[in-house]
Amino acid sequence: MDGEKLFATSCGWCHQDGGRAAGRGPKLAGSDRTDEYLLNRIRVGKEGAMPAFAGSFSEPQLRAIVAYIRSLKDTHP
Amino acid sequence: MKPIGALVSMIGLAVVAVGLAACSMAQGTSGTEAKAAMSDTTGNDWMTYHGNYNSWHYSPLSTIDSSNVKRLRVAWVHHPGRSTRGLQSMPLAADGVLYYTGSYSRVWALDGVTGQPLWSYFPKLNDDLVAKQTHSPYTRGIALGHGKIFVGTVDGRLIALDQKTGQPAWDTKLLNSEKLTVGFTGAPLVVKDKVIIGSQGGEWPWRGPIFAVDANSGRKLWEFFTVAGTEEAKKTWGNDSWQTGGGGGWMAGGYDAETNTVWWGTGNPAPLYDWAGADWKTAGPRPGDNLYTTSVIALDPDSGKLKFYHQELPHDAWDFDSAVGEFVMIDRDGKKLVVHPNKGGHVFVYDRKDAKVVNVWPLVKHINFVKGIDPKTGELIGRRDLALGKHQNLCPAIAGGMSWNSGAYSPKTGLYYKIGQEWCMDLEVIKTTPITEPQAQLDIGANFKLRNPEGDKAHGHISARDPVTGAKKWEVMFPEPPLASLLATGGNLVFVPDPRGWLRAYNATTGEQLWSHNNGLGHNGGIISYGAKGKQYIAVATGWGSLVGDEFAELFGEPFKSMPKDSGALVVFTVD
Ligand code: HEC
Repeated sequence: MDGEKLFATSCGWCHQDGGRAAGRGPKLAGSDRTDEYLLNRIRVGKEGAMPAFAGSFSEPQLRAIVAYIRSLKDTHP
Repeated sequence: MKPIGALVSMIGLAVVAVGLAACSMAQGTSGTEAKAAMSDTTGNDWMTYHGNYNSWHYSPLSTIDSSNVKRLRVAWVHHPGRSTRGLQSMPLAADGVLYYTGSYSRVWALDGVTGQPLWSYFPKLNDDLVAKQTHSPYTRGIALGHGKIFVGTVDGRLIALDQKTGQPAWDTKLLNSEKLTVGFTGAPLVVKDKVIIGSQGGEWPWRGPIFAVDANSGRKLWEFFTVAGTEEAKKTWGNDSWQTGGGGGWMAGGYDAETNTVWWGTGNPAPLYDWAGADWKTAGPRPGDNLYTTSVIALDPDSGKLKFYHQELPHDAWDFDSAVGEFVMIDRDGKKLVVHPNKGGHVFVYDRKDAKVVNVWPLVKHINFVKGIDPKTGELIGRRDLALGKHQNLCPAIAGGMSWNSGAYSPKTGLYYKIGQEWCMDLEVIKTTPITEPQAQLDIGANFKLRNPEGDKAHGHISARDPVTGAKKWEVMFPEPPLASLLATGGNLVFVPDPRGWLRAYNATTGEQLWSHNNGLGHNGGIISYGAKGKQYIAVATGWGSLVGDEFAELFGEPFKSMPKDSGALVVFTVD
């Protein structure tokens, strides 16, 4: 399961520089949220801001994406 | 707030004399449809998304002019509520009544003089689906005709409402949005006895159809797939990639009544970025030209058959689609032309009889995805195909050199007024797992970050140009690109709703700013002028938060960092 590929397919359009920088969506690198919070936000989204992906990705895919987010170096201010 | 740098640079070019036919009259047409074609002779009404079939975004009304525009004041305001992603729509006006739609396809009819609601209609939407949609739940406009108002929904329906009462006349499900997530956000277009509407597409992988529906019964009459809509087109998608090709026609097109031709601009192919780089003809996720994405297509409204087309960017690898632009019908030197802006920053001028390229000119400065476009043939010169890996300073950025809102054309000055966007981006193209079935998610294939152009700062401008040659008469610079539509009027004015919240009026001939008013919230929607009870009104949609505007907080800081993205109102002005 390749979280980086999934991210570049459906998330990088809003979370810039592969989630390392803010853009349309917030920066995800270095997030102080819990894994459960991140997973839940990806599943249910936020109306008018972030789409809900529960129906698009399997649980293992969602976890691979979160693992990718956790692997990002927090370099952008 | 300090007025934004209204740097008017007068460029010493004479306005080229423009041989104009007053407007192309509909032949053998009747009722509202004929009225739509001719409304610029009466001037009181605003009958289609683009004003009328000429797509000029021009009102001939001239009561408000350079001598009294300083006295322009708010006549009334209407708050639709739930303006998620701002109010993005273009109002319509007929016989003193203003019609418009807010987010969630909620429609109102308002008294044009007082703003008093006459009726409203809130469709029941599939909320679970709305939550999944990237673009939800804005709606950019409605159509009017046959005693009805027509509105699309993000859950794939086209709805007709009785123009007098707002009661639904019919409600037709056209798209399986639950499976595809795409729906309708653009305005429909009434053509004779039909309502034409294009679906979303682009990075949502399916085949982006355009539909015609019977205006009276709501019955679907035809559908044209912008992805591989003909056998010839299917051959331009290697490995059956047409099944998930994207495309779409998410903004209202135009209609040439003389030749009975519907002109529509199509969306980009999916995935947006192609790791095959320069080998795109034979390799990568969608080998080939990818017809009819990023094209202008001419359809016969009666049969739904393709008459002719021009693909503005063969194998678009940058998300610079053709869905964004208006189809400005202009007659010059005995030639019937149509002017169509492309998101990549060039303006294409076509012959209306066959879509042969007459000219191509760049509207923005920072373009390097191609070295140029041949003005005689439209051929791309020196494409910058993006191979796997990192790329710096690609211009324009994904948000485009132009966005989806419309410019304006004034037959009085012969000038075309248009917003340009100057910004670039760094990106990394990533080889993703090819998507082989239509799916409910974006298909992008890269990570990116917007940036200032090398040696410049990201910014925007409005310029007044000869629409055929591109010769520039004047230009006003803005620190951030305006994202709303423009309006030109018979009072020799051009109205510019800007991103910080100011509505500005300029002298259409010189570019001198004559008036401004702070609406307190950015604009990313429509603006029209209409007449009611002998008075001229200007109606503008306020509200911020489109997918392009979403980039502003990070690029430009305040006031965008704190600007709400769930507000917006219709603000209407007049002079006493
Ligand atoms: C249309 C743009 C868009 C897309 C596409 C998108 N997001 Fe988001 N995302 C946002 C926005 C905007 C927010 C902030 C929502 C808020 O809290 O207001 C957000 C928030 C988040 C958060 C919560 C961050 C936090 O600390 O609160 C996570 C995690 C996240 N997104 C992950 C993803 C993933 C993974 C994908 C792809 C599967 C994705 N996003 C696709 C726009 C997007």
